[in-house]
Amino acid sequence: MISVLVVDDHPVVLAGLAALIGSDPQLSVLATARSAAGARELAGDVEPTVAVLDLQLPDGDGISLGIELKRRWPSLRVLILTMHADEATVIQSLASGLDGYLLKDADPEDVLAAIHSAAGGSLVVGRSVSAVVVAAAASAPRTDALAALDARDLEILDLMVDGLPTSQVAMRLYLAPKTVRNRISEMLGKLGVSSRDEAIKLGRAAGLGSSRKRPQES
Amino acid sequence: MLSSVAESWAENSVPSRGVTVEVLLAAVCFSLSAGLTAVAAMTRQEPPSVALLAGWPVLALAGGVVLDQRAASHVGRALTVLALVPVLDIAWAAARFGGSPAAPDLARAVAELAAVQAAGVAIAIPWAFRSPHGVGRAVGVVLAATGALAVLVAEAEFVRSQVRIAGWALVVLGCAGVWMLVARGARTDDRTTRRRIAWLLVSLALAGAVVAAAWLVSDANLGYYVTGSVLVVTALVVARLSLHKDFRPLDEHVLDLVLVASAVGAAVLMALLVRLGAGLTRLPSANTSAVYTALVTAVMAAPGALWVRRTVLARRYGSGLISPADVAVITADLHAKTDPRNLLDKAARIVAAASGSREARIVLGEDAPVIPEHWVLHPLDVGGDRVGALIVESSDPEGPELRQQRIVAQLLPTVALVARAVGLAVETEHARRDVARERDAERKRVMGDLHDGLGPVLAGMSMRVQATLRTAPSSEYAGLLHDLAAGLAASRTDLRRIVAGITPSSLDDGDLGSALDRLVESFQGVAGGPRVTLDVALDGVLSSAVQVAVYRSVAEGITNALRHAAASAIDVQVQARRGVVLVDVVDDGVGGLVVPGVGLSSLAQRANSLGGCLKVTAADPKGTRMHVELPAGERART
Repeated sequence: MISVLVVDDHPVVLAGLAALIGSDPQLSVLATARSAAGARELAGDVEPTVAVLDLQLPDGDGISLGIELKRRWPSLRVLILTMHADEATVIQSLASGLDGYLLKDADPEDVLAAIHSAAGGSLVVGRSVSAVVVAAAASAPRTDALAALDARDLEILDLMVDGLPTSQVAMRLYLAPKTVRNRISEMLGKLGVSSRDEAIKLGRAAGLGSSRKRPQES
Repeated sequence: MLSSVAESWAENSVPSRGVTVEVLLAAVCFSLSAGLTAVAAMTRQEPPSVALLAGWPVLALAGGVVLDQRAASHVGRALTVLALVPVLDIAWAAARFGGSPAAPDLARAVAELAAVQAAGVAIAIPWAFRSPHGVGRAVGVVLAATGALAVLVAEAEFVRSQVRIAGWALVVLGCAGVWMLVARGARTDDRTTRRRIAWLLVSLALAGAVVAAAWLVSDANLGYYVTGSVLVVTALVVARLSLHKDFRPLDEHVLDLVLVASAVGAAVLMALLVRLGAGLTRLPSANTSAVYTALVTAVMAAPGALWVRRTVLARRYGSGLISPADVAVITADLHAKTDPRNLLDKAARIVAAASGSREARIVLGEDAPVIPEHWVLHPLDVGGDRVGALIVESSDPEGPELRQQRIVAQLLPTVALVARAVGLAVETEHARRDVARERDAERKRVMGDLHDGLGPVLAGMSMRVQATLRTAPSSEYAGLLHDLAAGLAASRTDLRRIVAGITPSSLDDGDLGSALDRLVESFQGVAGGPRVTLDVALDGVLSSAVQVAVYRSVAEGITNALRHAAASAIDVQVQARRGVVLVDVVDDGVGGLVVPGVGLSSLAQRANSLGGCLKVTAADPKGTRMHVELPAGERART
């Protein structure tokens, strides 16, 4: 009998997962928790074979919790089950020594198969590359560092990222250098940074700058 | 006193109000000079020498006019002081010939002082226009003064006339020396001063020549009248020159002169020929024919001379006109939808071409740009609001000529309207991008919420249904549970597709081809669904806005076909051809009328905003074709 610990903050998922695991005669739900703290508080005599953890918990992330639980029960196998996935997180979780990573919208049968495989000692990675990519689409950062800027600011920042000095930016945009200087200082205020270099760093991180997108121009 | 005239102009650029001390002094000088002249005229009744005296007061009049405009003008002061010459003359005559000199005595006095007066005019006026410093001027002044003194002595003491001639020669030499120094110094001055001094020297030289000729070739009476008249004319010319600012280049006048001389020369030549021919053939009224021929020749030569003048000026300054062909060349690349700011370059080039300037640029916004040296800034105003500035680099480092300034000034209102229109277009484009960005952010947020909120619920419910099916496979609800499981699985797939189609973050690495591969792959896995094929032929790199539009077109096309067409095959083709990206999604489904939903409408809008279009037509032999065209060159990013 494989005993499973389930940690997920979403009640529907928790109930569904518990029912699904319960329906498999070789599996049993040892305990459920809706937070990282709840998982830590489990009595010392409980020792699950497999832990199925959500990636995002109200009080922590699944990967750290998985590492912590593995330290407590060295033979524990840990599976991350999540709606959110991007390649970096997948690699991070596997590199941290966790045993599997799959997506919640996988078929229920696949979820059960994954728990069995993990218990058997193999590494489990969710269905297909496309699934990871699609999920990555949804988990793209929703807070845009440049959200405070408008198109006018972005136009200037874009050229700044390209490394143009103020005079050149002004010439490209048909503005007076004074106008550009004023707008840049306004922009720094909106971004909450104190120097042009910091703003340029933010812009580059957000994908501004034409050298990458328009190689035919350079 | 010795500061240059240019500086004194700068100081007095604002005209003073009311009557200044300088003008009052000029008026006093005039009254004194004119009054004494009148008294002399009434008591001596000797018209010729009085005519000479009567020329001087006009100098004070001209000086007063100049001083009224520029109180510190050296020219004005010089003219005013020169007006006192009759006072000097009459005082000299009184001193030499007793308290009440007779008419011949006054004439003698005037003759004795002639050299002093001539040297005074010849040195004081050019010196007042530009003060050359140094030994050279002193030498010139000393020479002229010595000469004037020699003439004075020769006239007074009846010494040999050679002394008198030598004296006059010294006066001419000294004056010419001072003039040369003035002319040489003016070369380093600004263009206006240079031209002003050139005009001044030419007019003074002409005046001197006329006076000298009058005294040499005729009797003394004519000399008096001519000298008096020349003084009046000189006063007017000097005053006009010192107040005028916009001088045309001198060679233009030379050209005018040459053209007039050519026309006149041609007329004279023809007249001579006709006269000669008429004489030989003994025709009657030969003179009349000659005059008539001269007139006709002059009239016929005039258009040719004008054409030469116009051609030379147009070559130098630009024609002042823009032909439709010029406009076509300058605006040739505007048919494509590009950054509206490109219009500013075009307008500036039109200004530069019309005015013969080297370069022109337009800057938007209220702030004045920092302009390089030799550039001229023209503010652009529309309805009292500053909308930008036109800056022009003249082909002459000293700035545009008057003619060019006029052409630019004429074009300014139109350029201002162009700047305003472009400013509005840029604002509109910014607003459009802001809205698009907000819309995308909002979409992303909604899709994220959908994915995070609905996704787990569907997943959890799927698991429960599956669990129930597994534990009680033979219950009476088994059929229902199977349906539920299938429905939930389909819903999960739908959700995945919706999220994938609307937030194409998989494009972030810029590889449209592989993003499309993954997109199509995500539609493949549906059991019993249609077969989706993808054919991508792209060259070069598309801007990210076009990439997103292509991606969404494909996603929307497939989704529509899946939803409405009941198709068994969906063909997707993406190809770039001659600057245009073509997207075709063709299904073999039921076809028929397509009512554009939110997806298609927003796609069509996106394509339009990029300068492309979207069409939905019937496919052959059956089914529906969605066709999207996008310009590959569009670089605007949303």
